[in-house]
Amino acid sequence: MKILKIKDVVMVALLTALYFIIYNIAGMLAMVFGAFGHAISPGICGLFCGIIMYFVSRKVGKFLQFTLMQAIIILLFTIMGAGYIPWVITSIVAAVIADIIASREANPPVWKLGVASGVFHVGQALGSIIPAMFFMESYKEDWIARGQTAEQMDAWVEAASGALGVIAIVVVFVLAFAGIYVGYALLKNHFAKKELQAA
Amino acid sequence: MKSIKINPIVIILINVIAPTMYIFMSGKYLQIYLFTFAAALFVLMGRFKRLAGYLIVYGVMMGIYYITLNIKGIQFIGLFIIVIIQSVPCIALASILISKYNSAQLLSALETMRVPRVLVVAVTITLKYIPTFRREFSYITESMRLRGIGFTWKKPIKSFQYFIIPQLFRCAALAEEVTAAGLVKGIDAPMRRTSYYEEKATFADVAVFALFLTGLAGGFVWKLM
Repeated sequence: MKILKIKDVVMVALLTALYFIIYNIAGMLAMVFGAFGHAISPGICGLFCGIIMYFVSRKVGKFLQFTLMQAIIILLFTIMGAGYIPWVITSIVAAVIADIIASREANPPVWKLGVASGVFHVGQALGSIIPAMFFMESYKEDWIARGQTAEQMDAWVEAASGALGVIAIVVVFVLAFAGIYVGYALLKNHFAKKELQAA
Repeated sequence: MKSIKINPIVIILINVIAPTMYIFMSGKYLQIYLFTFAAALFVLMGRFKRLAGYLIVYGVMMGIYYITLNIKGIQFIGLFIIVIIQSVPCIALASILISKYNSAQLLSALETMRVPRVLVVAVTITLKYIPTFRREFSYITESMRLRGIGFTWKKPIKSFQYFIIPQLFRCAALAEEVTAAGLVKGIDAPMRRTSYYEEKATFADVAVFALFLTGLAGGFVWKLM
């Protein structure tokens, strides 16, 4: 198991900048789908950013690469005043699991990367789903205090809890999984030559 | 009026503390307070252009919020915007971190906060790269224009491919250059890094932070009333 060197850290940092921009655009696109869109926005991000995760895996391919990506995203959002403790915890735990799944080997199979990306983005989604499921009242009060209406919060909680919450988790996982295959399809020609040379 | 210089740590601390306060105090009070505090800080730092931009963005977003909130069917837009509005003062302050301070100043500030070195280096690089993204994108569109290729919604996957793949390989090339520059400056040296910009807290830093905390304390009083 290889560990990250300074060159890898720089590469991950630059690619995370691109991920961060797409993450924000995906969040705005998710707005179109209302409360449910908010719950599945990490999946929409995963669909578009699968190519970045695939690229990171093929170019860096070292343990803790996804944890570093997630930690940078969390720090950026915190500096921007958008840090949220449940989201931080679930995101980091999921990123470590994603690394255990797909970063212990240099060239993991695409399906493993798909699972890792799914877990990575489900972790982000759980940041809002877990509070809505288990701490419903304080979650609602917190957001109503921030300017949401009680009706909208009811819709949010409904979209992120119960059966809809489970559906949201599945949708996020599937979209993120598909994102890796989109990345693979777009990049396979670029890496085919390199893989042939390595063989 | 002479503008003041603030240690980036103060801005980072304000942005870390401010959003967590929504759990403890009135959201309305905090929104108004953060908006006013950020505007006052822009004035004190002499960032009048940025202040104008901040006021326009905030005003437009509030306008959209109030208009869409009263129209059935598109209320979700306003309710989404109000989530973003509460981050606008912090985002505006974070934008100063990118525009006013160089990488060495940010590195020094983040290292003072005992954040692991790897993370400090990574976050500094990411923060400085985000603003260059627009320029990188314009290079890609220019190259595409010269080759007679255009973005089209009719072929979304192809268009996405044209946009993302050059960016990815540009990042890979840039990583080599940035790493080389960093290694020359001893970024991987195991000892504690010293910096020309290593600054101790000044009176202005303490005063600004104390003012921020006093305003937050006012929020608790507001909640009790």
